[in-house]
Amino acid sequence: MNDMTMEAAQRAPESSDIVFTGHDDEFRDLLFKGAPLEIVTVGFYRFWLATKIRQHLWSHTILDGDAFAYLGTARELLIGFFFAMAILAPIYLASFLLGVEVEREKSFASLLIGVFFVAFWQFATYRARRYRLHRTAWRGLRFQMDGSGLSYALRAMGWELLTIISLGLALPWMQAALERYKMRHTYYGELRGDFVATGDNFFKHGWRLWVGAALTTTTFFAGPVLTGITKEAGWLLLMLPTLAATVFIYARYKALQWKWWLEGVCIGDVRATSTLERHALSGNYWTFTGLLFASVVAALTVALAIGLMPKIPGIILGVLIYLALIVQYSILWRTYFVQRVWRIVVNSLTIHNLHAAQEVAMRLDASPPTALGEGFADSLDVVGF
Amino acid sequence: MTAKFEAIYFDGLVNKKRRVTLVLGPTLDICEDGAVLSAWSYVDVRRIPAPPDVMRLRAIGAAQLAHLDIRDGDTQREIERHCPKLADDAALHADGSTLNIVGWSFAATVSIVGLVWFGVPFAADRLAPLVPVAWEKRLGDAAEGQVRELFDGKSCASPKGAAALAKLSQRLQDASGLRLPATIEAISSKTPNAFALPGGKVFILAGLLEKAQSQDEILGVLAHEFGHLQNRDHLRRVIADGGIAYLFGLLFGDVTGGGAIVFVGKTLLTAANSRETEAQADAFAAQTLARLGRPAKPMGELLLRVTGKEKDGFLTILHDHPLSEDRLAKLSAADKATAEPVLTADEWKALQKICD
Repeated sequence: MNDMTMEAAQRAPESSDIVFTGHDDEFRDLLFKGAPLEIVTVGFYRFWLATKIRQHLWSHTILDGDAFAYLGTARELLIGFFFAMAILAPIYLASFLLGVEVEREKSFASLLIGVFFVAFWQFATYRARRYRLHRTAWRGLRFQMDGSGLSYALRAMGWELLTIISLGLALPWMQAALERYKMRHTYYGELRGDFVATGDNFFKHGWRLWVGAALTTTTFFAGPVLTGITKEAGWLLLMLPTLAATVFIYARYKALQWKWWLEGVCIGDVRATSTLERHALSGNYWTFTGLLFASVVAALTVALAIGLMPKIPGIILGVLIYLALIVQYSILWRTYFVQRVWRIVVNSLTIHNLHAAQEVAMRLDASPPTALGEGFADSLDVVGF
Repeated sequence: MTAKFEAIYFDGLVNKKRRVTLVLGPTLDICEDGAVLSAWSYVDVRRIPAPPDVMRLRAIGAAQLAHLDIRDGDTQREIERHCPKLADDAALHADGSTLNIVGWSFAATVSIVGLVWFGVPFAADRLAPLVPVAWEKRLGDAAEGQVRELFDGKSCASPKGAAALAKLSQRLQDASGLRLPATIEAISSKTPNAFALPGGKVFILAGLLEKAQSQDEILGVLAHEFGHLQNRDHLRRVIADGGIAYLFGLLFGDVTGGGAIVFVGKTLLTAANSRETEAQADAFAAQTLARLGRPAKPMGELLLRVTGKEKDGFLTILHDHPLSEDRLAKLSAADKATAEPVLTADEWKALQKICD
């Protein structure tokens, strides 16, 4: 063997399989039982359903022959939520009183207090991620996360402001910066994470999507004005094409974002490559849109029929249909935005240099996180899985 | 006699996957290449959730994530035979049965709805009088700024009209015995409406003056608004709304679209509450008008003219005012006209044209 091939052999990364072995049917059964239960329990079942969903996804994700384990419990989430509500109560009260004072100076200035809650939301999502990571294990070893939720929230707010000012152009660099912060504070045992993908790279592959989004928005809002047709008629005409363009752009964007993110993530020397194609998620999101559209049309048809019915049975039927719509939406959302994406994304992955994650020792963590962050996120209406 | 079985072992300290031999002697010995890595007491061994076909075991006292994975059926049966407390693991039962969750959720809902229905109005009634008038004024100032921006209307004050309004306001306040001084202001907006703000400000919109056929109609509406001021309805509303929003926030959370159910519940509740306060304000108005010796019925007539017929409307349960027909009937019953009108005919004309 000459030096050249030796070097090539050393450079060629050893690669390991990661597969998702969960069946769509199994996940469907989970939701068909869980989503109606959420209604019956006026929402309290959400903590149990979220936990079951995570257990399902984690335990069917198999890296090099061993599954990930989700160690969180629904009870932790419930307690986290109650603590969050207790802590938020005086904050809500203070923000109301402050709002009154600000209003006296300038009308509607209290809307600025919303900024505080956006920042708090960022803090909550950071802490929620920390909780989820800490409850994730592989081969009897936990993932962990340190860093400060406050520091993250400040960064996120700064970047968001920049992104708004730049009409979304700064988005790739915002995501790179925030992912860097998150990943550099992520650990698997003693192995520290990093994020090496760049905003430049994301922008290079995604700028067409930005142009597409800008064109779609401009057409929708400016089109009727320019062509002189009435606003209502114009929007009615443009509604379907706009929806189609939105789904198209969103699906491409998500596929690109996933691939970019996955290939940027590293834990120690362990890296990933993804074969995710640009259109990999398109079928998924189109199915979601189609099913949602069909159910809304069906509901509207029934609603029209209800108008012809006697009052009381009509109202009862209306309420039932409304509940059915919620259940259905919850099922569709969790299927097409969570499980299908998870399956497609995991199956596109190859992990490299996994030998660097052999015999990793436990990292001591002085304060294991509670589910308080998730509780905050939940009470601020953050939809997460 | 000891038997040997195969298993996979993770010690929970290092992520190394070890193929081990289990030796079922006095203790459960986990051995690799002849060396005992760990020895578990049979009473400490617990089964934890695992993929199908796999028996996953942990032991009390071992590292938190240390576990054994056993795939072989014979081995699984042997373990079941040896370990008496296999099924005692808290993690297996930590999340309770579905029936339990449903039951506790139902109890929680009953308690929350009970709090919202009885507790919140009670708390609002008790807390509102404790709020100092200065705070009430601050709240009113904040709302006033918003009102001015929203209605985008100018404040109207034609000299004669303003004089008439001042006279009307003075007579009303004298008769009603308000707990704080009120100021009435006319705004040039086409909407037929009038409303009071906490702290004593009352706005009457030009649209309502236009629709009025007699001064007694306007007098009644203003007396009704004074009723809201007297009863601290705004404060009670603010306190109740905050409490209700918080309590309902405990339900549903992120169930997609569940927020809408909460919204409907809230609307029904506040509508019911507000029907009550409106009726109280009507009663206050009727009382005040009786003291002035003026009829209460015209106010009811004006309301009916503004809202149109409501009786046969859909979803009357959602109305936040009592139905105009019912209010008219009640006010007519309280009708006691014994004195001359408050304003002269000329003054009334000037008031109607206050915005011109």
